[in-house]
Amino acid sequence: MKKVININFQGRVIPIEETAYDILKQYVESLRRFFANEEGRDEIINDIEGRIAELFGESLKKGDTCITDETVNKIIASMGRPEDFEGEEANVKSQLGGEGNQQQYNSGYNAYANDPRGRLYRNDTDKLLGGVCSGIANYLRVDPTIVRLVFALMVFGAGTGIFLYILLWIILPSKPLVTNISSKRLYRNPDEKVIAGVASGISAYFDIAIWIPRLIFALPLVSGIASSIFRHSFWWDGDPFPGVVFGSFGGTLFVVYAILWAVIPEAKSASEKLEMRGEKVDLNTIKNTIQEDLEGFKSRAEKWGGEVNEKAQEWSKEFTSTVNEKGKQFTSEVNYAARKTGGGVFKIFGFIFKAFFLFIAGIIAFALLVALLAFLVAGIGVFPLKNFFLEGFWQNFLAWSTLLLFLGVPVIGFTTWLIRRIMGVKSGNKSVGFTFAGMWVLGLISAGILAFMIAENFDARARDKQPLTITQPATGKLIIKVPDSKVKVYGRWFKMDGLLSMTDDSLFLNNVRIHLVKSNDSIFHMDATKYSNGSDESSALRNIKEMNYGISQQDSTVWLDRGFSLQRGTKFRNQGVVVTIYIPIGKRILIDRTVQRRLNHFDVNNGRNDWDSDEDWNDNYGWDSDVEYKMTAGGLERSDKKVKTVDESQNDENKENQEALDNYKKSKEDLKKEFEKKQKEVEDLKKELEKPIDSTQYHYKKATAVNAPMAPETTTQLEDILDSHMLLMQMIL
Amino acid sequence: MKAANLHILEGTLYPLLTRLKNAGLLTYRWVESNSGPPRKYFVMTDLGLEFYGELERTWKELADAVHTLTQPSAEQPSTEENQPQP
Repeated sequence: MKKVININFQGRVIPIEETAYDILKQYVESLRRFFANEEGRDEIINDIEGRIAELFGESLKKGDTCITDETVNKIIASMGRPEDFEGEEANVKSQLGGEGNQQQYNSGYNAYANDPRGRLYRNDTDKLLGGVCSGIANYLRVDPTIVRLVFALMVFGAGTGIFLYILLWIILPSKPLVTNISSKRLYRNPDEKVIAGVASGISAYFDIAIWIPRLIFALPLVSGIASSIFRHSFWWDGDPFPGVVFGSFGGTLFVVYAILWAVIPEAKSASEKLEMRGEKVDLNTIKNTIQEDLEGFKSRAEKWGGEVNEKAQEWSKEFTSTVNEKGKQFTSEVNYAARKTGGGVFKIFGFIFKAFFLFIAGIIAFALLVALLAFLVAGIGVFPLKNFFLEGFWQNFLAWSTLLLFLGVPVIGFTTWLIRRIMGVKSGNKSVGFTFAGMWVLGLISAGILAFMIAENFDARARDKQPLTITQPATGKLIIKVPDSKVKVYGRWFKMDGLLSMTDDSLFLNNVRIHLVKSNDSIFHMDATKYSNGSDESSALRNIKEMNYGISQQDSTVWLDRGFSLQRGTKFRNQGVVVTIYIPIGKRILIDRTVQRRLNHFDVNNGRNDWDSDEDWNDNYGWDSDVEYKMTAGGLERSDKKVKTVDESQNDENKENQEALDNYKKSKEDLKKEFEKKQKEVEDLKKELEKPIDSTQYHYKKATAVNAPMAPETTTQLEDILDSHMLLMQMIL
Repeated sequence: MKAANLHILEGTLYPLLTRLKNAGLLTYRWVESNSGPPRKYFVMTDLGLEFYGELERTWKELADAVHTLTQPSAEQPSTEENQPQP
């Protein structure tokens, strides 16, 4: 049972079996490749197609209902495949065109081992950028992909690849070369792909099961995701992505995949797909007696070819038309080249953009997945907290459905999809996908409703200001500290800013903020403003009542509570405390660093800025911990001397520098004087030396005597200079 | 050609014809066909005829030479022409 399709073949409608059509298409394609460099390619192929159409017509006339595989194979056998008439072609070529087209056949359709190598060209017919790699591959008779990989590794390894490539691009001439590798080639397989078909192409190339390369690529990545999520979910410090993709071993493979993606061509046509599997291009044809017959003829003809060749070359010289032809050929070649280069630029840009966008898209998709997974894990982590957030049955129900459907379903769905793709299982029915999609939409809806309901619960806001009684410090300086907690519970479930710790039945919050304000009278005041959200004002006030926050005092040190706890039954409604400290003019305050470390302010913003614009809190002063401040009429000022001391020390340094410089100058002058003195002495000595010979010995002795003590002196001087110089340098530094 | 025990693949014929046509040795005309698409009928041009004469002469010389050389043994298989001319 076969499907029959109608094709328009040479102006006639022909019913043909689908498989037969594939064979025919492959055949015509192989012809097209074979005659790729022929001048009248289209005409030749048109003629051959015409003949095939005629034969089809005959076959249909005979009473066949449609064209079958058998018919097509028979016709192809009688027409001959490219590799069948190749030998004859070569002969005829030399006979007819002289040297005109010879070069193209140096790198003939199939590689002949003893073929002359020819020159190194850039390949114009098979190129990603400039055809350098495939040109080299053609020269070395290897798969271009291998050369491309080597270049890509060079680029990523040391960066030299780029320069080498550009250099070769400039140096090498371009030429349309015909592929000369008959063996398997590495392609990307578009039929069985998860991302780009790299893994399945590799599996086809090495003849291994498809899931092996996929697993190799995917496993480190998956384990990387998993480990990073577990690392980050409890200690969430922002972007987990670079760590997953670029940091780990999985990242390396990710980059390798990207390179392979760029470098390996996709097996688009049927013949390329056959090449990918290492099968001959004419898979579906019958290789039988006919071909063997022909081969016998071919070898005989080839024997002849040598002799005929010589004759033919003589004749070809007589062709006056050759010159004309050559001229024509040249212009057409130039045109072709120009067209190609124009197209090439676009191709390059296209390729770069494609790679770039795919990369970006991949990263985005990947990030989304990771984020989703992270949310899921975080959601599970937060879940024990739900009692502090959620009210009533419905919110709990929605939270569960959100967690399971909105976050869980995509993760499960993606995992199953990934496993199926890796194992090469094709899902037969789409209902699974629809079910997943439907469940996810349900999850999305419940997430939306949940968010809305929770937002409702945070709708109203209330606050309550209560004075805290303190005794005035005798020294006029108030120190604010936060005590160490007696019980430490470190993230039994989860740690988040502001949530100090939680146990199963109580939540401890340290959402406390400190405001420093100028006091209206001459004594310190403190008050605590508790605030909370709620679904309405009364519930917000109720929430505030549940909060307990206080201080204790020891002399001039005020200990603030570490926070306040929410009992089970009380909900988290963005509760917080603002401790306002009123500082009288002339008094000092120091806020210990424990305050900043142990108290943590956060705010769930509900979009309405009705809080901070309130009251006198706008007049509060910024502060750093561990710095003593003094309240003055003009505001809060640092009372420490740090700034001043820095200035002074700088001045000191400058002074020292100046002195050193002076010393240096002085010593220089001294040295100059010294030097002049010595010079004079030397001159004197010289004069003496020029006196009669008999006294030379004595004077020589004298000269050495003068010179000898001089040497150490100068060195010490020099050392001095050096020392001072070094000193100066140190000063400046 | 089949009668002359000369098996030639049809596929080789078309490129040859095209090349000869491009070299100016052949011309063709279209003739409607009732069994398929219109057919091309090739005719030799004057230049082609001239060239054919030349080829024939050379071939005769070569054939004669070979014939004379192989006469005594007479084991040469049937002639193998390699000149596709319509």
